[in-house]
Amino acid sequence: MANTETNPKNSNLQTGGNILRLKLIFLIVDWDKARAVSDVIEEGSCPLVFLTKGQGTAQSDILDLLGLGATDKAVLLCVAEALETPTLIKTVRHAMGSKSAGAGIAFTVPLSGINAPLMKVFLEAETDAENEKTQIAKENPKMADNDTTVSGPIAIKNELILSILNNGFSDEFMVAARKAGARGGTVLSARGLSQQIVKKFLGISVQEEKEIIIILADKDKKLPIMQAVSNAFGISSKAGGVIFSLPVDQVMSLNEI
Amino acid sequence: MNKILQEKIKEAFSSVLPITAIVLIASIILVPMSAGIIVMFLVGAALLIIGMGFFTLGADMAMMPMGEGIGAQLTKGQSVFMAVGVSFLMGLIITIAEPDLMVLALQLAESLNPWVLIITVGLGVGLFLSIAVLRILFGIPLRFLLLFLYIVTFGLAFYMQSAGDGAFIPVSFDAGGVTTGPITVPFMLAMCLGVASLRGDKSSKDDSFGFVALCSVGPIISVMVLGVVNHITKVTPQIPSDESIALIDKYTDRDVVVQFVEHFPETIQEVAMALGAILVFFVVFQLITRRYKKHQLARIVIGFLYTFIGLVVFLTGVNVGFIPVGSLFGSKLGQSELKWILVPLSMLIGYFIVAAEPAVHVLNKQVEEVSQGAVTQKTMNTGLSVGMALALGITMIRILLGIPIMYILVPGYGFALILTFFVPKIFTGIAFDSGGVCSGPMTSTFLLPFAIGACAGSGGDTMRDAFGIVAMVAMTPLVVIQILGLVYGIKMAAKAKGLGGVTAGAGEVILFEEEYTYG
Repeated sequence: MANTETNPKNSNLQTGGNILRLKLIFLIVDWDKARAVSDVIEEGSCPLVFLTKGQGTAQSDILDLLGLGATDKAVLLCVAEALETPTLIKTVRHAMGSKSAGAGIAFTVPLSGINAPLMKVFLEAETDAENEKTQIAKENPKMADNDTTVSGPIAIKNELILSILNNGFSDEFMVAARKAGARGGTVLSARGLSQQIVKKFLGISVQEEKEIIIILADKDKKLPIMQAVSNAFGISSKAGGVIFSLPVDQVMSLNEI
Repeated sequence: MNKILQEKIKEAFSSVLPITAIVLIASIILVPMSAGIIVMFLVGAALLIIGMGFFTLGADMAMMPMGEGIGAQLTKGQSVFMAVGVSFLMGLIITIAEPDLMVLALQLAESLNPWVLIITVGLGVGLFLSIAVLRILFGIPLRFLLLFLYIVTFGLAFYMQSAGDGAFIPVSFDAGGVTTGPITVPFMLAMCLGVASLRGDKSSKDDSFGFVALCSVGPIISVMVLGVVNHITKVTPQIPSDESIALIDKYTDRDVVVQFVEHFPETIQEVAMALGAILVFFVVFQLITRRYKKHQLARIVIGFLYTFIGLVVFLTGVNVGFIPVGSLFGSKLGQSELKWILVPLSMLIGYFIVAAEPAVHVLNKQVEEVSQGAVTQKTMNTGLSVGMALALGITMIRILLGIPIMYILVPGYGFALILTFFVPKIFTGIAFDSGGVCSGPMTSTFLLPFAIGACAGSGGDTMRDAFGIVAMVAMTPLVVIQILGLVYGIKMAAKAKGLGGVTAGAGEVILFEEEYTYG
C-alpha cells in the first residue's frame, strides 16, 4: 500500500468503484435560518461550506410590487460524501425547527471531479469516523474493501437550470419561467468576468453586474422552461443570458419534519 | 400571514416596545407624570411602531436599490469628474433638504442666518461625499483619511478653546451627528456599497462602508469654521418651555389627538422636501441611464411612498410624543435628591433606545449582508446598544460633575483611531458609519431634551454640558464596534487555521467517471 500523502496518484484516490462519491449539496433556506443551518453542517461531516445571499422570487406580481413578495434567502453550497447526505439533511431539518413551513429546499449535484487535497480531507474524515478519533492514519487500507463505496449509474429526475443574465432582468425572466412551469427561483447577484467586458477604471477593474437565477425543475419541465426563456433572454438579447442545466440526483424538502 | 409582513411587524414592535416600557415603568416609580403626558407618550409610541414598519420596508424597496444603483453607475461611468461632480451635487442637495439640519439652524438663528449654516453644511457634506467616492476609486485606506480629518477637527477645536469660543465646540460635534439623519443614511450606505460592489479586487468588500463616516466629519469642520469666523456664542435650545409642559399636564385625550393632528402637516412638508430632493435626483438619473426596468421602477415608487408614510408617522410620533417626556424626565430627576440615579437609568434607556433609531436597522442589515451572515444583525444591535449605554452614562456623569467635553472626546477619538490599525478594515468603516447612524431622530428628540432637562435641573451649564450628548452618542460606537471587529478578526484567524493543513497533491485533480441515467 503506497502512501497517499507522498504519492497523490495512488490508486486509492483514483476512480474505479473504490472511492467515496462526492456530491455538491445546494441548500436554499430563509436568510434568518442561515446561521443555524451552516452551524449544523459545519459540525457534521462537511468541511467545505460556502454561503451566499440570494433573493427568493415572489409568487405574484402584486405582492412583489407591494414589497411583500421576495424574501431573502441563504444559498449554501457544501461538498459532502454521497452516503452522508441524507443524515446531513436530516440534521439540517431538525436544526431549522418545526416552524419551518416553506422554509427551504435541498438538492444535490453529483461531482465529476475534485482536486486532490480536498478529496484527502474527505478520506481523512472517513477514516477519522471509523477509527473513532484515534490518530489520523496516513494510509487507509480499509478503503479497498470498504462497502461504503457506490457504483452504478446515478438516476436523474430533476434538473437545475442556471441562468446568468445582465442586471435587472430577473423579474421578467421569472414571469416567463413561471408561465412555462417553474415553481420558483432564487436570484444571486454576481459580477461578470469575461475578457471583453472587464474595463480598467483608475487602475481598478470594473465589472458588469450580473444576476444568476437558480431554478430547480422536474426533468420533463426543464425543456419547456429553457425554451420559454431562451428567446427573450438569450445571449443575443438585451439580457445577454447564458442558460444551461445541470443534473440533480436528489431533491429534499426542508419543510416540517 | 405573509412572511415579510410578519417580520416587519415583529421588528417594529421589538424596536419600540422595550424603550416604551422602560420609560413607563421609570415614570411610575421615579417621576410620576400626569395622565395627559402619558397618553401623549403612548400615542407617540404607537405612531413610532407604525412608522418604523413602513420606513424599514420602504428603505429596503426604494432607498437601498436607488442608492446602490447610483453608486454602481458612478463607477461604471468611467469618468472621475462625473463621479465627483454627481456625488458633490447629491451630498449638497440631500443635506440641504434634511429636516434635522433646519432644527439646528434655528437654534443658532440669533447669531447666524439659518441659510448660511445650511448651505455651509451642505457644501461640507457634498465635498466630503466626493472625497468618499474618490477614496474608494483610488483605494486610499479609510483610516488614514479619518486620522487626518480628525486631527484637523481637534486642531480647530483647540484653536476655538484658546480663542474663547470653547462653548461652541459641543454644538459643532452635534451638527456632525445631526446632519446624517434617517433619510440620508440609508441612501449613503447603499451608495457606498454600490460604488464598491463593481470593483473586482480583493479589498472591495473592505470599502463597502465609510460614506456616512466621512459625511459626519464634514459638518463638524464646516460648523466649527463658521463658529470661528462668526464668533457664535449664543445657542437657543429648541425645547419646550416649562409653561408649555405644564399645559400638557392638563390635556384631555382630545387635546392630545389635536396636538398630533396639528403637527402632521408640518412634518409632511419637511419629509416631502427632503425626499423630494432625492426623488428629483433619481428621476434625472433614471432618465439618463435607464438603469431600472418597468417592474423595478414600480417597486421603487411604491417603496418611496412607504418611506414617506413611515417617516411622516415616525417623526410626528417622536416630535410630539417624546420631547415633553424626555424633557420632564430629565429636569425632575435632575432636581431631585436621587440625581445619581440618572446615570444607571440613562444607561438603561440608552441600551434599548438604539433599536428605535430607524437607520440602525438599515445599517445592521447591510452589515449582515456584506459579511454574508458572519456578523449578524443581533450582534451589531448588541454592540450599538452597549455603545449607546456608555455614551449616555458618560454624558450624565459629565453633566453632574461638569467635566469639559474635550477631556472625553480627545481620548475617545484617539483610542478609536488607534484601534483602526488593529481591526479588520471593514470594521473601521462600519464603526465610523455607525457613529452617524446612531445619532438620529430619537437622540435629538428624546435624549437631547432629557440631557438638557437634567442639566438645567441639576444646575449645570446647558450650553456646555448638555449639548455634546450627540457627540458622545456618535463617538462610543466607534470604539465598541471596533472592539467587536477585533474579536471577530481573532475568531476568523483561528478558523482559517483549521483548513490550511492539507497541501499534498495540490495540483492533482481526481475524476469520478460515472454515467447518468435519465428516468
